[in-house]
This record gives sequence, C-alpha cells and structure tokens, in this order.
Amino acid sequence: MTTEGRDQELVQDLEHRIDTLENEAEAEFGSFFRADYVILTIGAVILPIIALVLAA
Amino acid sequence: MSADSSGDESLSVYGRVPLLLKEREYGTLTANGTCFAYAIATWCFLTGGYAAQLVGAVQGFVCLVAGNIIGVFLISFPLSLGCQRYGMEQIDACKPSFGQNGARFVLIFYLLNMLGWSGLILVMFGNGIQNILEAMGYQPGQWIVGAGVALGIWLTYFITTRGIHLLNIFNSIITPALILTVGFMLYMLFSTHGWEAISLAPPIDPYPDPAINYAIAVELGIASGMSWWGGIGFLARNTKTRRNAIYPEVLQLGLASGVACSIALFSGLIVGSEDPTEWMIPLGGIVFGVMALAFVALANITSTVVSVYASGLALRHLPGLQQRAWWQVVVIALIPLMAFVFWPRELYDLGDAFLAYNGTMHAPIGGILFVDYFFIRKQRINLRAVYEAAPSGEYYYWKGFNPIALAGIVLGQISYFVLYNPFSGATHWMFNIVPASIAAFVVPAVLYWIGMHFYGSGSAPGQATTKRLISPNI
Repeated sequence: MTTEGRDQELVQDLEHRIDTLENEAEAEFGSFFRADYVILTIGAVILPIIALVLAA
Repeated sequence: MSADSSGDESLSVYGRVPLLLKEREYGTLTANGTCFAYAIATWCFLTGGYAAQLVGAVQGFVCLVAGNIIGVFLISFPLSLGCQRYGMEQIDACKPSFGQNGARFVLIFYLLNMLGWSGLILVMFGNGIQNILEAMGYQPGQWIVGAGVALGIWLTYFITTRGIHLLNIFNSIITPALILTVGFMLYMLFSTHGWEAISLAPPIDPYPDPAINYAIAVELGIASGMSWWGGIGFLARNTKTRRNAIYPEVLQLGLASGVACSIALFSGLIVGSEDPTEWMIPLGGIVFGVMALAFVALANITSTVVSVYASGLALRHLPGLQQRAWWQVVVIALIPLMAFVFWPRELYDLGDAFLAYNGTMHAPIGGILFVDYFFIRKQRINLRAVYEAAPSGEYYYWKGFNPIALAGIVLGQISYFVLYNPFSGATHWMFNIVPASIAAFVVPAVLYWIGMHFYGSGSAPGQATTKRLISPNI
C-alpha cells in the first residue's frame, strides 16, 4: 500500500473511532456516581491531610 | 480495516489513535495488577532513601504514604477520567488546555521526568554491580559505576528495540522477584531489628530545623506521587470503566507505592545509608543480600526500558521523528543518559532535588488539567478537535499555543521556587504550612480558571466546530 493510501485509511479509521467514542462517552456519562467523588475526596485528600497534620 | 488490526508495525508504534472500548485490556483485576507492578519499582527505593536522610520512621511513613496518595490523586483524576472516556493518549489529552503545539511544551517536562528517573536508576544499577563485586571480595574503582551505566544503556537499547514482547517477558520475571525482595526486606527488618529499633533510628543527614525536615519530607511524598504523571494516561486509556481508571491508580500508585517507599525508608534508617544498593547485604547476609541486589539491579533495567519506551513514543509527537525508524528514536532518547556514564556520582547526588523538582514540572500541568477538565469543559471534550491541526480547530488557540496555560506553568514554577528551592535548599516561612507542590498546583489552576473564564476560546463544552477532520495531526 502506498504512503498516501495508508494515510487515507488511517484518517478514515480515526474518523470512525472519534464518532464511536463520542457516542460511547455520552452513553456512559452516568457510570461514575456522586458517591465516587465523595469517596475519593475523603480517601485521597481529607484523610491524608489529617494524617499529615497529626504527624507534624 | 482498523489501524490496530492492520498489523502495520509503524501504526501500532505510533499508538496515538483513540482506543475503542472493545480494544481495551484492563478490567478491575488487571488494572490493579498492572498498577501494582508499576508501583513497586526501583524508584520507590530512591524515594525512601532520600526521605531517610530527613525524618524518622513514623513521620516518614506518614509523609510518603499520605503525600503519595494526595499527589497521585491530584494529577491523575482529570487525566484518568478523560483518557478513559475518550481513549486518548496522554499528550493528546493536554491539547484542549495547552493547544495543539502547546502540548509539545508539556512533552519537554514529560521527557525530562522519564529520562531523569532513567538516569538515576541506571546509576543505581552501576552501584549494584559495584556492591556485588565488593561482596565477592573484589575492589573495583569508582569507574565501575560509570561502566555499569554504559552497560545498562546498551541493555536498555537491546530490549527496547526488540519490542514490547521481550519487555513483557523480562517484567514477568523481574516484577514478582522485586515484590519478593521488598517482602524479604520487610521480613528481615522486623524479624532482626523490630519496630522499636526502626522507629527510634535517627534520620541520616537532617537539617538543623525538624520542621523544615518534615516539610521537605511531605514535599518528597507529594512530588513522588505527582511523578507518576507520565504513566497515568497509558494505564487509564486501556481501562474499560471509569472506576477502573482512577481507583487502581490511587490505591496502587498512591497507597501501595507509598508503603513500598516506606519499607525503603525503614531500610535506609536501619542501615544508615541512603543508597539502596548498600541495604541488601547488611539486611539479608551475603547470599540472600547478593541475590536481592542482583534482582534490584535487573529491575533497574526493566524500569529504564519502560521509561525509554514511553519516551520514544512521546518523541513521535515531534515533527521529523514520526517517520524515523524505531531504533533511531530510541537512540535519540538514550543520548541524554550518556551524561550519567561520565558523572554518575555527581548526578545521583542531585536525585533528591530532582525528585522534588518533579513537583515543579507536574503540579502546574496537573492544576491546569484539573480546572480545564472539570470546570471549563464539564468533562466533555471535542475529540475531533484534539486530532485537528488546522488553525480553525477548537483547540488551536494562538499559533497552536494557549498562552493562558503556558503562563500558568511559568507562574506555577515561580510559586514553587518562592516556597522551596530544591537545588539550594532555601525555603520561605510559608513552606512549613503549604507544600510547594500544592502551591504550584493551585496558583496556576486559579489563574487558568480566571483567564479562560474571561479570555478563553469561548467555545461551549464539547462544541463540534468541524464535522470532518481538515488537517489530522496523527
């Protein structure tokens, strides 16, 4: 396959992927719940900060 | 025919096309396993060794574990969710905030981080060879360390140019061996010395002010967490769900890595040396010590291969290197490491400053990406615009650069150095209250939010400015 033909194929593939992923991204938007944000904020920010302050 | 299924090696080497959900490999178990194997790496030994210079076991444990978790979370939250949702590679994920060309500026920090770590752990490989020879009764001169670095560079070239398969074989042997080594160190520490001796061991080379020592140890912990920045996107874009993108990174790269760093800290305190290659024989005796040292030395090579491999892929973003043969790109990535052949000791001694400097490099980028992804874009990216190099593209900004984001990086660096200069050791009084990495994260984030709010592109989140790509940047 020529370089030009390969590039064209790559771009077509990229366009297909972009369309698919944008649709999938919208569809799974609700799969990360508010509870996840709360758990991560407490576990990865608040508790470590408390530990650092107590150990100082 | 898709690019990935074409079997064309050059396309798979680029690795920049967004991954579809069906192509991703990591479920919950594999995501945690990969992150864990990545987390228990030789740089944990270096970080623990540097912390042992400043603080004791209890304070050091808290600084390394809590600092690692905070650092990993802050820089990985927007990147992992964004890369997972859209299957993007990491540098591409920076384009909405930094611009098409501005993202290449981020690449410089990425390469500095990857190659800096590689150089340090190659010196550790050289030190390991020296200590093995000394344990066997030889007395090689200091030149052996530089020669070991040269050997390590050659081995890295050999493995990296033979592809990911050979690396996976090495990793399947070395990673379990390294985990066993860390477990062995922990067992020997507690069975031979006990917690009381560990907790009472004084720091190796502290500053006169204990508050400064603690503040620098916190900084080392946070910067150590932030130094994972380079691997976040690669891991997240290969996961199938958003939870698998973020939780394994916080748990393994943050928590597990912090624990591994702490075991290194305890070893450093007990042996009284910051050099990880000097711990094994005092802890395990000649036979087990030399075996453990050999595993650690080999693990340094696989860690370097991963870094150089990632650096080679990152270099593919640069014009002129996209079409180069893979071996040539690897050679270009390895050239800066030659400095460690000639000045191994001098550069190794700058390692703690380099580790702290990671905070300067990644904190501003992390702060800008955090605000951009969550508050400016509301978690919706125009994926087509990420791959659009035409000046009409949504993420082109000014000549391909977003001046607000770049100004944020400069301001972040200034904020860091005002609070703490890792090279001179100079500190501001506020450094005792606010870690420099956190200031370098927050200040650019606020500047970016204000700047984009008033002077940004004005594009609505996820607004599709083009229906088809005009000038694809792939």
